Amino acid sequence: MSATINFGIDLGTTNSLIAKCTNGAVEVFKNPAGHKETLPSVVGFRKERILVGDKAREYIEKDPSNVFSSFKRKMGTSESFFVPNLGDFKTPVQLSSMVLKELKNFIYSGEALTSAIITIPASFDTVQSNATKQAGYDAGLYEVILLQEPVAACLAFANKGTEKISDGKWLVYDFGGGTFDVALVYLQGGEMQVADHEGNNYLGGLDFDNLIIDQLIIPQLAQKGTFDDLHTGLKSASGKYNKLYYELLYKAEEAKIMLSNANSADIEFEIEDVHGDVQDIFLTITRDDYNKLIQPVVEQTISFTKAIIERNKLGAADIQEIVLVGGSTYTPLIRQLLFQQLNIPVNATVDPTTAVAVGAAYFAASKAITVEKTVALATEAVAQGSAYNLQVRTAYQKNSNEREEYFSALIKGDWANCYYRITRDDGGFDSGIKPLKERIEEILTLLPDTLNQFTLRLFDDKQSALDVTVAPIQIMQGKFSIYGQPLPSDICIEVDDTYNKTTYLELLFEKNAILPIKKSITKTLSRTIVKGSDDQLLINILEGSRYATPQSNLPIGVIVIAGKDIQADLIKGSDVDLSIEITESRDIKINAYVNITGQEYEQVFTPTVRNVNTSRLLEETDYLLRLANRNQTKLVEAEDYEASQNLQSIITRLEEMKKRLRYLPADDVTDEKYQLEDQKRKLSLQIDMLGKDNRVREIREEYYGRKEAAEYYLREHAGKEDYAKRFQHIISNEGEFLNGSEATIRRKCEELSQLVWDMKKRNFDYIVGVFTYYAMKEDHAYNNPAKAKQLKERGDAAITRRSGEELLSIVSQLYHILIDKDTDEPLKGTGLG
Amino acid sequence: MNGQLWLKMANLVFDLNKKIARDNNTQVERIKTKMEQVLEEAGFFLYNPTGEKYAETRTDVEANISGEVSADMYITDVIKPVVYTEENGMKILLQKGIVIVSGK
Repeated sequence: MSATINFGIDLGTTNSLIAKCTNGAVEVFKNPAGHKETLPSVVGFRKERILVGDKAREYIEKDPSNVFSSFKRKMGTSESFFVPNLGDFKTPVQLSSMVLKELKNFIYSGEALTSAIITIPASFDTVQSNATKQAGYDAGLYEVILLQEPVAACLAFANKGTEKISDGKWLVYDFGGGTFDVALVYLQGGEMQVADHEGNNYLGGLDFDNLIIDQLIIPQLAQKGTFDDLHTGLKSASGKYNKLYYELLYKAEEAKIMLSNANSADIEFEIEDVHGDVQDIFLTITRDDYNKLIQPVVEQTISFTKAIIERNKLGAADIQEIVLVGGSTYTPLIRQLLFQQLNIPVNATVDPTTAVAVGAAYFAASKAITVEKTVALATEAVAQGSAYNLQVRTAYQKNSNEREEYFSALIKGDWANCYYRITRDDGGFDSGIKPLKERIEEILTLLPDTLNQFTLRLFDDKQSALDVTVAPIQIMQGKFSIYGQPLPSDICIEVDDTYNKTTYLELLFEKNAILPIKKSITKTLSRTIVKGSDDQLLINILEGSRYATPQSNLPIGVIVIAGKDIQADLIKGSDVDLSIEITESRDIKINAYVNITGQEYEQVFTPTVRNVNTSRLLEETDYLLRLANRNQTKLVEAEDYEASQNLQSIITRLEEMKKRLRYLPADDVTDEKYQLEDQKRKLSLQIDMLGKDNRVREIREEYYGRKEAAEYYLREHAGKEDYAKRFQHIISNEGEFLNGSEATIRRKCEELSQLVWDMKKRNFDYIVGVFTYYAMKEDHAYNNPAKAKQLKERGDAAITRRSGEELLSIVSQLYHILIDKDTDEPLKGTGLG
Repeated sequence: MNGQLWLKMANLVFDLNKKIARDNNTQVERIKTKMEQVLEEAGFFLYNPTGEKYAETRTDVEANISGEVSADMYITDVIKPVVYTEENGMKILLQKGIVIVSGK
């Protein structure tokens, strides 16, 4: 257990935050729903549901009698708020405790929050301070230590810099979204103390947003067209442009943020004019316009600041720095005017939004907690959970095609005065806090086409989590239906392996993926298809194992783009956009868009209709024949006569197939092409199997060798770039692909080689070595001797200048014009790279 | 590119999508689809909830309620899309959508 409190809470008028200091580093926790650090200090009572934060804020204007904000201003008063939806009153202390309880949910580690530092405004008197402490206790905290906000802010700045902060006087200028405060802080002998403060509870950055709409957007808009009464239309609830008003509020805030860093900001939106025409409006707001607009508001804050200085009979030289806190202080004009008019250095080195929470956390790390009491509380909390003897039985539909699903649960045990809450684990749903009943019901909103996981949690009367285990609620949306099913095999596209002069399978949809499913990819042409030629581009979709050879997988859809049909040459390197969709009933829809010609091809293949391209079948048969003959030579050399005899029989059958295919008309209406296609797949599998053990052993040995080399260079380049990540990506699923086809293992070998090369080429001496290898070859070993000679000369010059990049480029060019590169039996590929 | 820049790009692609939907330009639509694919490859999934029913339990959006509050409210306009990322096969909300909500 930690010996210090560590947790700091900024319980703000507008927003609240929670932070923790561990080993000198502060982390500001984020809301699990939406990952924002700030929680609006707003509580809403919507029928049976309690909303805290962003959701409650949405209803501030629309349901003001049930939604409460800025209640911090009423802390310590006898005022309480009547809640019509509850038929009961709530005090500011109770509302504050709800905000604190919500902040507890931000602690993702799940550790119990039993002690915390909570900040209070410098203006809070003893009664208000005690009320804040009470809110902490009501939220389940055992120990609450208060800290004044300006002191917390100074601590955040003091702990940020490396320079030691000396004794002196500081001004903390806190300009938030809805409030302004300025405080004079004395630091003496290591002690900080707030000497004086001033403020306005109704002055903040939100005023800037409204000024942008009223004085910059509306006048500009009026000049651009004819609109019905813009001002009323925007601000009246039933106004024609009321929806636009909310959009403009958001865009005005965005522009305000942008103007903190840029000299101008653009606002773009659409609006319907009096004639019913939709107009695109594009407005530019300059920083000068904006500064003129907000200057009067900023001047007011400076007046407060000057008043403090004068009241305390201080001069500019008496004050070390003005420390900036609050989101509005991002505005450059504020910093500029403060310095110009007060002549005191301005310090804006800490994030002004989180400064108070961060400072509170630093302070918390220096305060010891009462260990015995915390242990007692933890024990008590668990005992409390079991004391209620709660049992939960849930009922819901596990698969759904709806966007909402009904959920109910039966609760047994002492559930009175307890609460529950259901949240979706991705952060997109929150039931809010609701009273527990014997039977609870909820409509759960589902995210489409995914597994939605919800968590049901139970709380005691203080809304502290109870130790009751409820199994996660899991609902699959949109993936299962009466026609739907998982894919029985991988679905792949055949692409060219130009290096090995063959083709391989690239995974489109993984086995067991749930139908319907859709994917769009962009492929690059691996060779030029000349207009009018007999060449063709093949988009070949196959079903089977992604690790097998394409020839042994089942073709389920193919689009042929013939040279005769294209409007212009399809240039190597240009893009083809592919969209592949498989419906629940297994129809396969392929759409191909050739960017260079703008031609689009689309075809739907149904499982009952098989599509066989005879010219492609002939090519594949031819390739298999050459491959079988090459393997035969190896088997004879290895004196594996039994395998050789079997392979000879396959060769004979392939030769027969080839003859039959040659005489088969392209528009043959018989079953012959299907029979031949089946036969080809079977023979391909047999070739793959014969002598496979020896070949796979060899290629596996090569793989392990290359893997070892990669690991060696990874150690040399530890921490550089993302080599380790690439390496992990290559070797993932190693067990699976090492039992797959040789081609797959070979590709993995190449990926490892590429990785090693990328690491090696960072070493200049190594590149020089590679260049020397090519430079030593005779000029006539290259298909363009003159160019080779020239490249060699340029390489020598690059070595003299130690220009690694240039030398690499020259090595690449030499490789490409080298005549004698290893060649194998090539398979004329698909044309897709 | 860091996460914040990707998110900015996701919002721009969403704005582009709104314009294309109005102008019905298939050529630009194609490029936009490719941009969405790139975003998905980078782990950013855009979600447009326009037309969906709104409930106060929806924490995937920040709603601006136009007109009166009623039991039957719908998302009528989306200023910023919902953006999800994926970790270990599970989606995680990265950016709440900014939406306008009103009764039918």
